[in-house]
Amino acid sequence: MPGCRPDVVTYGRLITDAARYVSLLKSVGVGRDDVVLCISPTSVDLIFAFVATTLIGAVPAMLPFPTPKLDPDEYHHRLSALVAYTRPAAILTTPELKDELTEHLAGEGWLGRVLSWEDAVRQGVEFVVDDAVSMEADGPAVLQYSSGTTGLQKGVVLSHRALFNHLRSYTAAISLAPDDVVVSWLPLYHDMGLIAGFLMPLLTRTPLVLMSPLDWVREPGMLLRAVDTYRGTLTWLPNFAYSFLAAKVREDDLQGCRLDSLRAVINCSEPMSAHSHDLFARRFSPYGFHPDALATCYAMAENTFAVTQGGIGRPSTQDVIDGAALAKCQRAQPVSADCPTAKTMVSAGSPIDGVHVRVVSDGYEDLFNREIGEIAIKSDCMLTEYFHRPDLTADAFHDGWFLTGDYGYVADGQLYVTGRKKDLIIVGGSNIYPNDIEAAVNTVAGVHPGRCVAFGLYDEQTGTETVVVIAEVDGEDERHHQAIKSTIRDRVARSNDCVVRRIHLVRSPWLLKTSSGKIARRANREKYCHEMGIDAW
Amino acid sequence: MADNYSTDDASKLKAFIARDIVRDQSVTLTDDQPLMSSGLVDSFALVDLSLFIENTFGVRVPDIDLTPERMDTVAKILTYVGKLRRNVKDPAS
Repeated sequence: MPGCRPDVVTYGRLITDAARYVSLLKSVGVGRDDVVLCISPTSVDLIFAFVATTLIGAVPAMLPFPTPKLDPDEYHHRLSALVAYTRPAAILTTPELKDELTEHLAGEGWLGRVLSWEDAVRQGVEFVVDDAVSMEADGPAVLQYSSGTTGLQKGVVLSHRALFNHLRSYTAAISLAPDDVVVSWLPLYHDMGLIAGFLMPLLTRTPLVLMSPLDWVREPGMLLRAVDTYRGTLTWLPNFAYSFLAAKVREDDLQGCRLDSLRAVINCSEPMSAHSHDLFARRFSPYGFHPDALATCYAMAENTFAVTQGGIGRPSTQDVIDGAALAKCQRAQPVSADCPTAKTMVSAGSPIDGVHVRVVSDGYEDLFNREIGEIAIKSDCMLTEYFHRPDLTADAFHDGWFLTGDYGYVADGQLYVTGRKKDLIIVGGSNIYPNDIEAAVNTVAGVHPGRCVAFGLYDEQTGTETVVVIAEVDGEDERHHQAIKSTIRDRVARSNDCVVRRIHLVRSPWLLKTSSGKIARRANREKYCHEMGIDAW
Repeated sequence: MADNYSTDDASKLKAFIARDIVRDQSVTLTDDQPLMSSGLVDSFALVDLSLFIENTFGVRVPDIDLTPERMDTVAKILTYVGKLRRNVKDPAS
């Protein structure tokens, strides 16, 4: 919290405080391999809960908590579905949320317990090191979920072996050293925040300065002041944060701030933009920020975290290609910077140790010579499975290679990510599934049922994607249309906690369908861009 | 009732929100229309609002006051600004 004194947690305190949660969890019968959901804003208690779960050999899963904007019914509906198939032994949460969660999960046939921080305080027991459970290396260490109704179906199970293999490779890739200090505002329920911004520092004895994203979004400068105060050397950010920080931090909030300690600011979790990097470098160089610290990464929970890493010890690589050729012939053709359709791609770097990357065609053949294909990976830090979903797990692999669903190319040993197969929208580093948005839009009176589409468009000003919805409606009455737009915004916000920036209401028939009769997202996106005179790429 | 802020200030704020935050000039806003809870504006806009308030009305907005609830309507924002300008002890109340 800005203005508050920091809460310091030493390893000693971590174990002593986690001990209270250990005895609490044991008292309700939580044991080895049981799943425990941890639902809370970032706090020391959340960390104790997570560590305690691990200490008894259970499997922690960090989840987002209800926020005022999201419709509570929607949140609880999703949580109930997740509880029904995950069958956690317990949920650890804040005192404020305990009653609400208990009430909504009652009568759902779930036999686990909802516990809060206050239940732990009453325990007051000492933790004896011999209590530590010995684990199997390939047993489940942590469970990670993506967001949205669609995302919550895929719980990524990571084994202890995968986690430690990854830490070994990733710390080498970033040259982690004893004098490093990690500074982070990232939420712990996403892989970047969980791994880079929590478990990696924890398990490597690297000091971590952790802030809640709720506080950071109101006061982005707090990240930079923390870098100055604690001489932070490493931080990870989604692309939009570079633009956001550059534009929104007040001059007087940076009085006397020195950012020269930062040796790597690692861009990760959504498509990267050279422009966002430039804005950040220009704004903060006067405060000692070294532009060489701009680093990049391509990561996913299924690979524990990082697949590739770039820009450490050398500047990040950029590739100037023809954007039009990219869109039309699926090839990254180099062009000079003054070409009107030139597009600067930022490389995500090269694979970390133990990770192999291929670019494959639809027929799973290797592609070379800068041709765009699906990125496939094989590594020693992959997920064990999607929890209780052998079907989804099997579908995700081909011949032992994990199909990422992302498109890209390799040039000079560097990976460039160009797009996504499944039309996933990423706003501010968070995954948003178009079907979830379309489902909400379809409930709005006035929208022809099933006749809407949602997709993302990159916005250079914010450095992230903007959500666009196109819906077929009747008539031309402007006031009626404004009311429909209003309702669309409201419904989407309540069910998905995201803002639809552009709503385009059209008369039937406008939307294109695929040969199997489904709304063709990609084709509609291109049609919209063409009509608006926007570059689709 | 807009008796603690001027319609001129309200117009400036609404124009800013429509133009720079929602980025759709066809959107018309009322003083009491929910901004964040209706999905019109997201939490990243809180910082935009505070910068606009500081630059336009010459007051300093403490970050702790930047909550979706307090900033959810034009009327609430301007009432809060009014208190800041008059140097009220706890403008966030």
